[in-house]
Amino acid sequence: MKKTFFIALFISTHISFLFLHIHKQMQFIKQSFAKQANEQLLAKIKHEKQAKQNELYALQNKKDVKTYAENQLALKPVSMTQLRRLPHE
Amino acid sequence: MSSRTIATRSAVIFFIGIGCYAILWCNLFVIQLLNSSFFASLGTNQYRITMTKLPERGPIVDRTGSAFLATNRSCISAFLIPKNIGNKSIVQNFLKEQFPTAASRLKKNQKASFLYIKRRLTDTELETITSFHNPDIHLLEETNRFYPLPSAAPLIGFTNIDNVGCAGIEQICNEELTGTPLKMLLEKDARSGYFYFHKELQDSGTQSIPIQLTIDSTLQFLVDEELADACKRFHAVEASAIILDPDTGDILSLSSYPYTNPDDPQFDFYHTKQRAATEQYELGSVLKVFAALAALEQNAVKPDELINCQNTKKCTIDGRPITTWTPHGIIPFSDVIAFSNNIGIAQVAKRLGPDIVTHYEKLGFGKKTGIALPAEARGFVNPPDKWSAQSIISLSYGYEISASLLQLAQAFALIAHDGHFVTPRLLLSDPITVSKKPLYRTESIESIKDILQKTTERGTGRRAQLKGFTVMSKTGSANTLVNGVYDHDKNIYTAAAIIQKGSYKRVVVTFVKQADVPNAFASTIAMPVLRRIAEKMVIHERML
Repeated sequence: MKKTFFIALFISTHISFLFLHIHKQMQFIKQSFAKQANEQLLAKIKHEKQAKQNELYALQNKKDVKTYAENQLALKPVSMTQLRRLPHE
Repeated sequence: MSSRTIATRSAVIFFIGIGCYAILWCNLFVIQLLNSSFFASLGTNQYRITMTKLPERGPIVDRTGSAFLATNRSCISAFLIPKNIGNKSIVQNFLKEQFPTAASRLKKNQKASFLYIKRRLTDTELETITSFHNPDIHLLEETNRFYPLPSAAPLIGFTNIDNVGCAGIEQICNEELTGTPLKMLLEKDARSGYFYFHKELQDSGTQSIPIQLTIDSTLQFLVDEELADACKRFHAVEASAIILDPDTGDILSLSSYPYTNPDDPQFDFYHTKQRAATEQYELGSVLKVFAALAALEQNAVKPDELINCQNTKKCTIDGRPITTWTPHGIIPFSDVIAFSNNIGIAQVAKRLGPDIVTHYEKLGFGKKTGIALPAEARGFVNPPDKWSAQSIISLSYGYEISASLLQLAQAFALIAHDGHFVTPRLLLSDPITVSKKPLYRTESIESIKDILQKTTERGTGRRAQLKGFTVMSKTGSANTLVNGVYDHDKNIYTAAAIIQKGSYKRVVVTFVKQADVPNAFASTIAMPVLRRIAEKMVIHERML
């Protein structure tokens, strides 16, 4: 009885170790895939950020800013005669 | 059935079995031993993939570091795998209609593994392809360059379709901007798709390096506006300007007009040229400054020495004809420069002889400045062994010597920096190069500064006056050579100035080419442009 029990325990322990090992590998692969998915998402977000930044640079085009300032805000370029440096107190 | 028959049949079955087993073993021997390396590599190739990833091209920023002059943006390219196309006639007809060049390429490469339909598709082209809904046409995302400040285009340059720098900073700094690719070995199976089981770094590569220029993007824009306005007002062919800090050699603005926007798909290659550094021409009277500096250094003349300018517009010196723009009588040498009299400077230059060439070379004419731009002009100074009797006269007022606008700025920076030679720099990472010892005596430099100041106060540089600033200026109008003959209708008008207020110093040089204005001189064409540039510059730099 003791011998049979020992053999059964031995085999079942090994089977459970094998199962745990496979489970560990599966978890590892699962986590690795999740990490890769996140990396891809990060790359996509970075890419979108770059696109938005480029849009911003395009909007900051000095020529367009000047045209907007002159046409929409009725601003005019200043000349030296209009400027005076005030002395500090 | 007899026992003999059974034995025979059993033997036959046994030998068939043995034969099959032997065949199996032979196959195993061939696969496992004879061709083991071949099958192993086949398996590895399917299982392991080498991934090469090129870093994103580095940006180019201005001196503030916050304004981008070149950056990246994504674009879509369309491609085909010709050998796998299902219905070739449908694809061929579509391409013939929308992309004729791709259609002809497909005709020639029916069995190719890859064929671009078009790279960097426009929005309309992308719309056309997506609405076609054909599974044989694939889209690929790539990056290309984006230039937020088009006026800096001749300086920044551009890249080709493969993102390799072809002009300007993009070309000179291509290696730093590109970096080297990262190589990784991925282990994956057929079902893992974009994912991998294991990653092994083979080559970490090098990241691209951002390039920071000495250029001030706002100043560049303001100068460009003035050049555009000048070309429009004077019906000029082209114009160029440089603003330089003579203390450090930093080029704050280097503009050429007209320019072309590299982001425009139909951009004009001719206007990608950076004229200020790559074009050399005879500078004309603006070079009298350096002939005078040489004469003062050699003690060949004193600023107040009276020179007989013969009160005529045309005369001969040693049998050689010489003309000047307006007659002057006996005037001090300082006025010879201030009023730009050719007869007066020619007489003084004769006292210098071949030494004038040594001085021009010492000032940087006839050799490259070493600026980080491709195709920089070397310039030319006619050497004494090739001189004619006219040469010394011509050299004194800027003929038989050609130089770029950058070389002129460099020479003016030497005067502004009290005789120290300043090397212009465009990359902020380059070291500041200023000669330890001055190349000219303090007295010579002070004298020439006084003369240039007089030129602004009452000479040809009157239009450069700037309230609250000391302006030392000089102009030059020169005929251009057309097929070996001077064309009097095609002139280049040059103006150069040192703007100073306390420790604040700037060198501003500009030229306007072939202005269509009657009786024009540099003092009426280039000098007003320079003045407007200077005014915008001091307002922008808050130096009032």
